[in-house]
Amino acid sequence: MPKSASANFTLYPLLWLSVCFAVGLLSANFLSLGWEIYLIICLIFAISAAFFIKRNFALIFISVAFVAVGGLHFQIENQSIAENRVKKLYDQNRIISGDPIEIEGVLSGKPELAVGGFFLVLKTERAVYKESEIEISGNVRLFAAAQDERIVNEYEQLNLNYGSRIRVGCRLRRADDYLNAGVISRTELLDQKQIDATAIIKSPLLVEKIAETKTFAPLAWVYERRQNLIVDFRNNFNVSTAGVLIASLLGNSHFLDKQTAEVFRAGGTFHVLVISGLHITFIGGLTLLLIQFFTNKKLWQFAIAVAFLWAYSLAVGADVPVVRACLMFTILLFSQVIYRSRTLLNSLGFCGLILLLWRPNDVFTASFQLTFASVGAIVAIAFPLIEKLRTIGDWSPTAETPFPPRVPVWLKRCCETLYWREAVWERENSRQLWSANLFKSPHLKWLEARNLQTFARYIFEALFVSTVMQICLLPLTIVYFHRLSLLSVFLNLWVGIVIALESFAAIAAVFLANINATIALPIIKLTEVLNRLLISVPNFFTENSWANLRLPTYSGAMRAIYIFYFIPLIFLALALHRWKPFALHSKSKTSDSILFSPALLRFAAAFLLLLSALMIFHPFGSPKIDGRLHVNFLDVGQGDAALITFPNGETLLVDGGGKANFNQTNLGTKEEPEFFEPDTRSVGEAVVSEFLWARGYSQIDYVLATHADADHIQGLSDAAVNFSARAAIFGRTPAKDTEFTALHAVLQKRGIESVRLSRGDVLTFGDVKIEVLYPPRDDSPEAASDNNHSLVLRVIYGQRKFLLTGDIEKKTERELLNASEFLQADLVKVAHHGSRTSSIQEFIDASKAKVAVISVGKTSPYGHPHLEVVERWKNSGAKVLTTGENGTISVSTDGQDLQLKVYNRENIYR
Amino acid sequence: MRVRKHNHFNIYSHLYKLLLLLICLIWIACSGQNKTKQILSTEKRIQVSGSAVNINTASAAELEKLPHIGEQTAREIIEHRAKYGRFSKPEYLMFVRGISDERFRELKTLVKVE
Repeated sequence: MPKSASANFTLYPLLWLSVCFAVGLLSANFLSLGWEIYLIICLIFAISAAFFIKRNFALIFISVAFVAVGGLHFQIENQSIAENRVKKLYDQNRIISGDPIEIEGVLSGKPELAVGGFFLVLKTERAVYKESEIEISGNVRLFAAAQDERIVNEYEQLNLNYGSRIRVGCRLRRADDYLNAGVISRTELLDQKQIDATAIIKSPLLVEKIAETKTFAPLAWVYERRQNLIVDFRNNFNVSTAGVLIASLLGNSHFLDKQTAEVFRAGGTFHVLVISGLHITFIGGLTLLLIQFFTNKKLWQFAIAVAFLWAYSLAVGADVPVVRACLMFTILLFSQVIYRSRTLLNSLGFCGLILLLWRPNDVFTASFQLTFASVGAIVAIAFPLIEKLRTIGDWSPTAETPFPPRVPVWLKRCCETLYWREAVWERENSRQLWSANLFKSPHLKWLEARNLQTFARYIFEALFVSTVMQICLLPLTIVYFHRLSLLSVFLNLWVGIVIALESFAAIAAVFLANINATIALPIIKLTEVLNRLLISVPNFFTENSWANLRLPTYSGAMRAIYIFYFIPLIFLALALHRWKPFALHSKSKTSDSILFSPALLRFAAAFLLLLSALMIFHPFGSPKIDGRLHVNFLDVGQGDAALITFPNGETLLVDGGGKANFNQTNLGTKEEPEFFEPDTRSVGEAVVSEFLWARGYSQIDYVLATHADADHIQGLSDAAVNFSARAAIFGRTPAKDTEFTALHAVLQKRGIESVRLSRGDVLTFGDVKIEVLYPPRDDSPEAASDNNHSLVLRVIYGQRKFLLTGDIEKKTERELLNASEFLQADLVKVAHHGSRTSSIQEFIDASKAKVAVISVGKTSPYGHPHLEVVERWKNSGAKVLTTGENGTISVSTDGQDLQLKVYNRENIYR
Repeated sequence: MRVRKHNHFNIYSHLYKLLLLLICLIWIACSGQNKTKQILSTEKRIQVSGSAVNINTASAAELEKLPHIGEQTAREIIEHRAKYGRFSKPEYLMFVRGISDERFRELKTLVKVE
């Protein structure tokens, strides 16, 4: 890296050093050498660099030394976790996740309000576990459910505050729930937030306030203001507006409702709802503008703006991304104050170094990568390019640039249209002894006559920056969000402007509402109208699925494509820096001019296009057809989901997991109920869809719902939205069932045909036959689709048979035993998650199964699987596997053999 | 960063600044006296009746006499004791599956830990 950029090395030393450092961190993750080895490598190269300090290649030594420092830092950081950290206690199984424990600690902030309760972050100090007292450390997050008035009052009496020392009894958990390939680990996400474990507080009686500790008064004040603002926003605005404002201004996303959030996600504008670099830049810029009224001392402006910004970031909880953005803004601004030259890239490198020293593990997080890719895109590509376009458009003959830029005419005309300043030129012209006529773009007059030039310039620059960012972030958005929003460049512009207006209106409204409610009313209405505009316009565009693509990702070696994408991109960025539109044609062939020859540039651009096409259209993604029948039982917690891949490559998703509607809360009055569904990721999206994307699927041929219970059918709606499907298969179609109608609506919108099956039907997929054993035919819309009317299927390939039973209970099992020869199978998906309502002995005997798969979470709210059922299957000689313990359970057969694999290897021999 | 230079003293521009400052101050002051509900602390001591059941020593039969506690829950309480040790507070009875906040409130006067 330093070699190819040796010319740049002197200009942006910190950038390259931070890149080396990051490379060291990344490599240390794969190469786990001891820290001593890194130290030795580092010292050797540092000393050699010192020795050859006068020589050119010393640079390489220094770079390698920095890579080694990165590795060293990573090793030390990850080995030096305190022995009594909650994280470590749970990871080493010294405390079992989910066991009751009493913890004592100090609240590190005010309770974070949410719908239906609030969150507490507790800095733990002591714990009592199994009657023995231990010293612990680390943060835990507790959710206190407070739905009804009485409980809310009781919590208010406790008066929990920033700095309160409390003692809580709870079942603290630190465990991953959904063990499937491609599903992001929950503990990892919590670790990124520096939270070691979580729990739900069952009752206010379990919380005891011991004392108030001394707190930093300004911080307490700031926290207080923020909470009051949250309450103000909630009291004054409707649900959607309050949700957007609280999330985007105050950094609390618990009030965002799912529908609103989804509109932002689909448009690629969700980042405005998370306090991020954009906010910090905007707020920082605004304060700078304001301060310019009061003082024109640069250092003062800087100090005040930065102080305000840090107060704000502390107020909104000082999450890592906010602190990161704030730090970057401070450093970038400081570099402007001090040097006042264009060393933004160098400052960016400095930020990187500091942030990586602070939290080396962040280099693996989506948030860090997105921040750096986007800031890098702006600083390294967008700004320099705009600057060059400006000089082209602005050109008039001067001593330095006597000749017009050597660029194509169309480009020159475009730039002139945007950047040529006629007034300046006229003034300049009148001062000179000579006079000249410059022929500029013909559209210029038209624009200038209407005073539109400045406006056009702003629009162009915003769109341009946005486009550059999109291009640079493409692989990241695909890998992390599986999304590509074709209109996001435009929607970002719209959302950015409207949300800024909405924020100003909201602050004004809240300010007035504190004085008098009636004065505030028109402004409150205005805010709500703006919010409607904010949501409806993007919604109008993203309703079409072509504008909002969901994309699968490559796995295995093909994953390298996401990194290779950056190689031509960096090459083009370097070429851009070298591009001198005013330089006279130089005949001398240096090595540089060969490296950046037009042919090679064209090749790099073509390569970039090719790679993005590979990422978007995903031609080699889906797994190879290997002539085997695969069944993957996913770990969807409490619920069922199984992906069947047929030998001919066709796919069938049997159930999609889901959760009972526990989290819909009714806000608003009785006459006008406003249902609130919090913006939490559903199982169908976060587990089933992620699993399918990670396997490279962008379409599922068929989806099948065994019956209409939420934990089976709900996730299919997400699957039908995120993947294209040919048909949906049902046993019964109960028109009045809310879960079914939700799925039905999605299917109709996407134009997916529904098929009804009943006893006696047989489906064939190549050589695989699926027999439908249950339920009997009933086409009426009133037909029940409960547990006992689940679709029961037997999948047959060659000698091997798999029996999928849905949630049938004893009654149906007995009915099926009338034709017991159809129940024989090598593998049975145990009915109803291993509940004692099902799996009667006769049924087990009739199946003669070798493997019994129970689809159930690690901890089930219903106590599934019931021990006696597990015993019954075991006694029959079957190997019993639960998805909660094993994660994804994969079976495959070529018609003769039977291969069994589980995702969570730790538990295979249990 | 653009710097505006005030070459001559202009009272109006300064008034503007003062106004801005004033508005900021008013806003901060207003948001200060917000509706934080001050509820008088009505500390309720749990009145333990004389015949309260000691949940750390009681047998299954004794536990079942309590309201809402059936055979299953009583068994779980005893299992809980065996696994995690004594209940240090009566409230921790809620650790047991099946004893919700509401149910506990109905029997909190009837249980003790020592």
